[in-house]
Amino acid sequence: MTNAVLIESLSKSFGKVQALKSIDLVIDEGQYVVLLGPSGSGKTTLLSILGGFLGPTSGRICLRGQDITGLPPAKRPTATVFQDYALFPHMSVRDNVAFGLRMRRMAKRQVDDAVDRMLELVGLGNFGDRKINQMSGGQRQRIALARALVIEPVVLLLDEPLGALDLHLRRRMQEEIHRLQRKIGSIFIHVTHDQEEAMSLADKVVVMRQGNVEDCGSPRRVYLHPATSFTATFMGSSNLLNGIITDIDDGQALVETALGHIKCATQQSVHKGTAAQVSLRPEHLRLMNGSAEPALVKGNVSDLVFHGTHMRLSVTPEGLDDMEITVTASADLDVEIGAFVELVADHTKATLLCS
Amino acid sequence: MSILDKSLVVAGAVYGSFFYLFIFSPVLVLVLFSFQDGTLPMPPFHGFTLKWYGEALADGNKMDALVNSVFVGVTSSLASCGLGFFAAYGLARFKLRFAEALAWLLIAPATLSYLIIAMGLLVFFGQVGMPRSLLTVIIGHIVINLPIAFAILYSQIGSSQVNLENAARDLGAKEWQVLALVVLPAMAPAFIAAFALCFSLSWDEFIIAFLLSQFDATLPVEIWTSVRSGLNPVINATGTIVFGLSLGLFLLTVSVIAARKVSKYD
Repeated sequence: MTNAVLIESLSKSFGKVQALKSIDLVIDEGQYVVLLGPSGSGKTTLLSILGGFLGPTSGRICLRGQDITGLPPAKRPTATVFQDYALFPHMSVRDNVAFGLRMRRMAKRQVDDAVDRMLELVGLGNFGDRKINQMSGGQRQRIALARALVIEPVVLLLDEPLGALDLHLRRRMQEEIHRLQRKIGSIFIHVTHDQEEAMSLADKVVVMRQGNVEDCGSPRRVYLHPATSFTATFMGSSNLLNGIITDIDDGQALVETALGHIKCATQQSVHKGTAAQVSLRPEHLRLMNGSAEPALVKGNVSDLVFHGTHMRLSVTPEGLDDMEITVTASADLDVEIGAFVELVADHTKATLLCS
Repeated sequence: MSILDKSLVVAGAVYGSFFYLFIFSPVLVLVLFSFQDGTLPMPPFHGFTLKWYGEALADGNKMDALVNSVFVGVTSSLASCGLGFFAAYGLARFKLRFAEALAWLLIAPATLSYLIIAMGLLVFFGQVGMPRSLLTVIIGHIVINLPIAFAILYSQIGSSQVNLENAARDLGAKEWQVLALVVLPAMAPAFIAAFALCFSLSWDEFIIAFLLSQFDATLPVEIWTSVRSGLNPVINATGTIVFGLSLGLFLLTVSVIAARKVSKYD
């Protein structure tokens, strides 16, 4: 019973366009799942199919062992928080939240109690009688959450729920939604293109691209050991180096790149002599100050961006004019564009990507 | 402020005054001479009296015409809004081939001359043997109002409306509940606007009402008949009543729409 949601070879085509190409996905009870991808990756299509607003071309969805593929939205134990919230403009906050329960013909007193509890939970206890157009963006977001959660769905679907909010409010609502999910314990499936949002919310990140699942796992695993070059660059930034595997030894592959040999951990079975790609995060490189280690990169700083907590330098390696290596450095480092620097890599963090 | 700036402000004020005077003087003259204490509704203004209003309200023909006009306006506007809504909803919700072309085709009659519409209907009703009556006038007014009601309602069934419907379905509403509890109430301002515009067009319309009616005249037709026998302050009084009703409807519509739009955040 831990596999609460089971998605099996789910496909969706719109005419000749394949929006989803045979998706398989397993979600456990109580998991916060984030579908992450650029626009056109199929993440919203997947969410619409889960909500019952679109039918799949093939494949099936099981929820707690029950096949729900053909059920209409009203019959599914799912509820959706829409991107534009879709609050009923002619109803009060309270009537919006009560809508789902009234459709279920629940007794008035029970409806009132449930609505009160839910409004309290999202911090809108005193706003029940307000009109929707008197509420701010963040408050509307909470009403939408309350309206969907009050019917106690097994799965809550959130379609870019924070997209319309400014950055500050977005981070705050992010924490609130996370707290809410922990408290309620139902499955949340959340669509976003914001990788920071994905990393801070998710128990499980599903990275999507062109209708495929590129990578799927805990944010930590996906960030530290991305499965593909797309994941490596979409979840944070990464230096991708092409090379050839020259040696394999005890789960470690030695890859010959333009910068020299890089040793990296690998879980997959790889063969000597094949082409490979190495991902090195900017924070896995550092500027060397007379260290004993041999430098991976020697070159001049070509660009410098200040980020507050750190600086990000672009370094063009000597003799490789069309390459740029990004590296993070301490914010108070005294360096200028054009300066000559040497970089050392933390080889244990380098990741070998399958092609 | 320089002298040039000052003179520009003065010139603007003068221009603005003439602008509004030009637009409103016909109405002002009509209203003013409805109170004329004399038999001719033209200068000089002799003094103030309400007796012409008394005569207008006592005139059976004019009062019948007033009731006819309200009846024609309300029924043709209701029918136009109903039919327009079904057309707009159908075109917006179901993926039809040539949906855009169909929408344009529905709006196209709005560009036709009322005279053409009236004559076409006259020929048609003659062919099918339908006598001219208030019913034929109502049908004529539906022909001119339907494109307008459709255009207003169609423009308000946007994609956010689709999400509202989906949200209602998601929360367990049946199709009739989606329509009755969400779609229609959410579109109430559009309905009010469409109804008010249709009603005022019908209220004001002369040619179709004239050509398609026989014994039951609407108010514009009745006024036209009176004017033929010469100017008379009673006509001014009737016209002022007509104008007052239009103005009331206009203010009501504006206030209803404004009340719904008051928001700190939109």
